[in-house]
Amino acid sequence: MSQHTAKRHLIAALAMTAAVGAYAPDASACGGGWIEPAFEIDEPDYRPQGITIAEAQLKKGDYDGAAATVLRVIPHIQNYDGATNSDVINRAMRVLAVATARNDGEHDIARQLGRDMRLMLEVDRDDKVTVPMNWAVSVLESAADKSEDDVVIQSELGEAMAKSEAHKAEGRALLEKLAEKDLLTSPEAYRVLAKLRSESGNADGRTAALERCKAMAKDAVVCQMPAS
Amino acid sequence: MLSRDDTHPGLTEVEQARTSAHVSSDLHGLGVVVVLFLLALFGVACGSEGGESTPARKHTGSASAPAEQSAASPQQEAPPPVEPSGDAARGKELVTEMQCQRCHGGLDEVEPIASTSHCFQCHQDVMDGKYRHKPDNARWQQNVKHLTAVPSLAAIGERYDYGWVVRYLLDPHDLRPNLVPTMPRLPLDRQQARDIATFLTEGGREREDTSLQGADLARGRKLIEQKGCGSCHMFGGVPALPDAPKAHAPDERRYETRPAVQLAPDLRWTRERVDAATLMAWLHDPAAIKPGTLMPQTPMTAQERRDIAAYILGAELEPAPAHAIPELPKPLDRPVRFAEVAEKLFDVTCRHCHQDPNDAMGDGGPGNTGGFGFPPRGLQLTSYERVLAGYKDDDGERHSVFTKMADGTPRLVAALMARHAEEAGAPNPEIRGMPLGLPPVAVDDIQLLVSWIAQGRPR
Repeated sequence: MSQHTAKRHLIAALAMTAAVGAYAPDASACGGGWIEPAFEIDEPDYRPQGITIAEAQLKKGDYDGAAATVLRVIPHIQNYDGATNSDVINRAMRVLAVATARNDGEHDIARQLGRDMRLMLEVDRDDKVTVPMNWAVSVLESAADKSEDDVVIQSELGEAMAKSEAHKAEGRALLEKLAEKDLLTSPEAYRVLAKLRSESGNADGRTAALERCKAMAKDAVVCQMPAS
Repeated sequence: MLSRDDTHPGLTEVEQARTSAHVSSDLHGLGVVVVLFLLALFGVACGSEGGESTPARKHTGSASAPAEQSAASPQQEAPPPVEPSGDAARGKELVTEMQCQRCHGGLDEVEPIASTSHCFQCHQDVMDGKYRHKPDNARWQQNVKHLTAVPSLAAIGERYDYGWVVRYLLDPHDLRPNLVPTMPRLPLDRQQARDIATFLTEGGREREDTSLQGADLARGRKLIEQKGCGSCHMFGGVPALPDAPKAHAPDERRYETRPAVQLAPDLRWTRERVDAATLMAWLHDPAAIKPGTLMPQTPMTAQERRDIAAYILGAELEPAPAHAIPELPKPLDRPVRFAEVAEKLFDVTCRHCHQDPNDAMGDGGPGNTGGFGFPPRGLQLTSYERVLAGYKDDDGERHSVFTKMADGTPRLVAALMARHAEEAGAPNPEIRGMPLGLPPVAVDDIQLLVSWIAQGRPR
């Protein structure tokens, strides 16, 4: 590099340094303070993708994992009571409700969810099943009200109701109605239906529902139930 | 009539007879038009529908398409019935109701559809990196790069025969071999088709009678080769044009992406759509008829145009290849899971019209939230649960898509098989073929679905 060229580069570097320094609006800008950008940052909303992951975990039977994912993606979800117009929050609530119902209202979800969620599910109280199951039913009822002809939600609602003593008859009626039209959308729902039929002494019905469950399930564990 | 000296020694008797016959002008005029998919570029000819008078335009030309040649094409075995005029005002309403503008441009008199519901605008936005709803544009671009072109309906009345438009609306077929989508089979009755055709062809200009007397078909063929028409157009039924583009091969997933080639019609259908006068005018200056057309203006003399038009309208055609209706495939012996069916079928084809509204900015597509004149069926084919959730009938009651038809075929399979029947010219009155406006699903992929259903629809 010639001496002349080096001199030009040095001048350019000094000029750029001076320009940068001149831009700082206040002293804090040079000393670790945060400069508010002059433009708005349009940040993508990653919550839908997170909920999609949680829904996939739910399908795989990883109920605790699904609930934990929801809480990681939307930590403040405990502030919602189910009455929201946000699609992403409603999807998240559904994941929590179905996960709770499929875990029969008890267990590890509460331990993984953290203190706030435990409070919401009220599992630290004496009744560790009824309250969370009723909560799950109420969330799914709310979802079903918003989408009246959504049989996926109705299947989930029927499944949750059937596991709740207070809603069992209603849940069975819903599941039977959907099954009759071949519109039950999950093997888990067929397993619950098989259990209900078994309890009512309908052995053939139990067998038929279990066969549907086994045909649909990826993992036969989904359809395991106590011998009748 | 041509004198004996006008005949060409290299032509068949049929061609000579055809050449010597002057094009009758009793075709209907150009009233015409078309609708939805596949009409745009070349508007071509008609000529074989003697005796019809169109409501939109008087009939003028004297073109060429004698009876001998008609016999060569199954579509022309008998003159089509005269189509009475429709109600243009009602036609305009129907164009909006059927959402022709969901795909087509050139409908300035019709209220534009929301960009979120415009099939091809969305795809073009994906290609341009503008579709910001999802971050993975690169993957989407691979899926939609061949789905960005659609014929414009501008100046339909200047180009097409009214009666043909009516017939095409009622019984659409593949006009453009290198364009993957085709005109969908819409829920229209004959009067509605007439109304739409009347609206679309309204105001078409009258042209002077055009005689193809003195035309030389053999020279026309040679000129078509010399002018490079085959670089975009195919011409089914005659010896292949040099440089003819290869028709898309859906099984190989290799699709044409050059708009001019995608939109170029197969010239075998020209004689059904356009008369000689229109074709001559089109060859002279396409943009004067349809501004913005991709059809280039090719320098040629009036005699050359006449020869080319005579060949396009009069060359003897081999029958169009028959589309055989495949037999319902037997289930496979190996296990088939939902993921495989989704990968080969639902995700590739079905979900375009049976979307999750949350994933598609509120529009679940014609097969879910409604469109193309179809009511909302609530059929979403985006996930295992949604496929099992079925569809709504006209009364809003839900049914499983696996409900068996009278012959025992599950409804979902029957719809896919019905599309093959439509392509074979035998639409099933019991069920509309699916996918709507797309080529039939390959039998191997239908077999996957059949197997999955037979195995109890495992997740």
